[in-house]
Amino acid sequence: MEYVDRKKRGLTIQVYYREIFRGVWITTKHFFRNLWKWLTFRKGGVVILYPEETRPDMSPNNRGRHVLVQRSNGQPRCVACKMCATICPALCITIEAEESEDPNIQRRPRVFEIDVSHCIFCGFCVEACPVDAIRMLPQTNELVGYNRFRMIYDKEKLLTWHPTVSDDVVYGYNPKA
Amino acid sequence: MKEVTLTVDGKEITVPAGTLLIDACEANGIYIPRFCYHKHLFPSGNCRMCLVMIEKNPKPQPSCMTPVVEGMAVHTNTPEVAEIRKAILEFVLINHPLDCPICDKAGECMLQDQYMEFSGDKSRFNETKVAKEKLYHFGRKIIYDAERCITCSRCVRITEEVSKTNKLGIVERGDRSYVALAHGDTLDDDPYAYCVVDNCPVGALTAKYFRFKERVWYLHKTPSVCAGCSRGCNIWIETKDNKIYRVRPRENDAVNKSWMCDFGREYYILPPKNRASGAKINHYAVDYNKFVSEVAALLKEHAAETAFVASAYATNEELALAKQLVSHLGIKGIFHKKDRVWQESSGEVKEDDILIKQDKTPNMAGVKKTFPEAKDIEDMVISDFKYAFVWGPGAPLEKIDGLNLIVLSAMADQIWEKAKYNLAGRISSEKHGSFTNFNGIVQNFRRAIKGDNNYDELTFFIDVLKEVGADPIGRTVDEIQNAK
Repeated sequence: MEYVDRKKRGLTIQVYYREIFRGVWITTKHFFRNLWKWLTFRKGGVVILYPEETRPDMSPNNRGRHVLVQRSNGQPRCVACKMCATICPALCITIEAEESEDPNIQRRPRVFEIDVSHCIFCGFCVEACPVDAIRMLPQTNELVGYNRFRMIYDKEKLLTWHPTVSDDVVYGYNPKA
Repeated sequence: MKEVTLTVDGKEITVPAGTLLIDACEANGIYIPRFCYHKHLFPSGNCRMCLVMIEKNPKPQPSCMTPVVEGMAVHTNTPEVAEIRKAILEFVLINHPLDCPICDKAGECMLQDQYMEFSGDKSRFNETKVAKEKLYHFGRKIIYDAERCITCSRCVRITEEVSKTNKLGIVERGDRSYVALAHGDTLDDDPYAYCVVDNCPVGALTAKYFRFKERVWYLHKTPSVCAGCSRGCNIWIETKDNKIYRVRPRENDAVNKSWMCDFGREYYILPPKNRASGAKINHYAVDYNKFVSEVAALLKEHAAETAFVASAYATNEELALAKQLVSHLGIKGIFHKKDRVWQESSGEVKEDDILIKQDKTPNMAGVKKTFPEAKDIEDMVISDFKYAFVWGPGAPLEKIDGLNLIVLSAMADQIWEKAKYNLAGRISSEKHGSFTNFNGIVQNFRRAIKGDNNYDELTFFIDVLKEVGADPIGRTVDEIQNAK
């Protein structure tokens, strides 16, 4: 019994020599197009050397992934108020608060996790943050992982971005500025 | 009682004479904002948020200090009153820090709510804010933040009027005033200390057990009745992901007003240490159905020589089923006992004339009502019996040692270890039901958390009743859930 609703193959597909020649034509087309770009010194030709180069045609509106903004001592500026977790429509942010030793800070995140595989990159968390502790950076556009558990970004991973600009300068996606 | 008629915003209302204006308005659907006024505390009238205009009176009057008078004409929604409220909020917020992201009260803060409702203005304050003590430990239970404090004196009045310890007071003047304890004193020996946290209108007083644990808008509130003593204080159990985060008193004028003691709160917050689990025969885990059939057969066979010891932690519904089982089998020896599973701590208040009762079980009145013939287990003559069905923890070991024990209990105590038949029960936050308090007031409560690896007493008694051939008066949880 046939459980899968398969399409009937037409005669042109069954005789697959035609499709082989079509594939060869597409490959050849791209080869000559990239060759022409390369010969005229234009970007985008040939390939991107991935970890060293990033895509040049990334839109300036691309938000990238989240980063946690740091205090000057490397601690996150986040006070674990859970505003981002509350507003998050994909419910992908997990925060647990703890008491800080510094009485001027009082509250800090013990666990801060964003499940990027669930994230819809709406930017609500950035908008909701009352202390500007979370931002989305176009530079951090490499969202790769071998499995979905690698896509859960914890506090350490979110804090790897070291700001090269002053904290006063709003950098990255921040609609409040 | 004599009644007076007055006009509020053009609406005629009739209230008992002597009512405060703020209560009269609230009873008739007009909410007057307040910080310092609390229904169960003596009004102090120091926050000025409840000012209203009364006709023939040149100045605004605090409605929490004004008793109603015949023919009074009150205005609460004039532009002038709105302006007063805005100005008061601006005044309160002059030195108030914007700590909402780190404040435990965010989401239920009266200042936050009233700012959103009545003001919404931006701050015009350009001077340096007065910085005060940010982290002051009022003992092991409570932390005080003087910067957030609006000196409404509610906490001071709670220690004066409710717990009568007079621990707190307001010292210094003007924008430097703050709440303080005497030097070296703590709130630890105040049995109602956590009430000041519940009733702080802002987040100045925070409880250490709840500090930074969870945001209040995530918590699921369940109405419940405290099982800490026979007072039966009405409480909210606030849970998230099957874990109790916070317990707060629920208002009930007949039982506990707005208060509950710290003992009752810690009864819920601290997880019980020695929970029993599973169904066991001769200390080996068995299937629940096998356990029920064996116990039913045993009780049926030896009904005449079985002592039935009822639990004062059981709900009235469970007791009714137990009563049906006992009368169906013809068990004559029925006893009650004082359940006490934890050790008495050193500074514990045994009984006071406020809330705490000597009897630390929630439903002794229900046991005595359901089983009027029951005797105290201390009066038990051990030679009359061969078997004992012990329900609940805390039975005196020397009274029932040597009998064949069937134990149905949520706590694994010394009786649990001695028993031949063990079934783990539920604690009161894990079941639906009702308790009868010492005054005879029957109060319902609902399940707050789901217990694991234990069995429902209600279902157990129904199953045993079915097994012995009786028609139970209730339905099991499965039957209710699968009912068409």
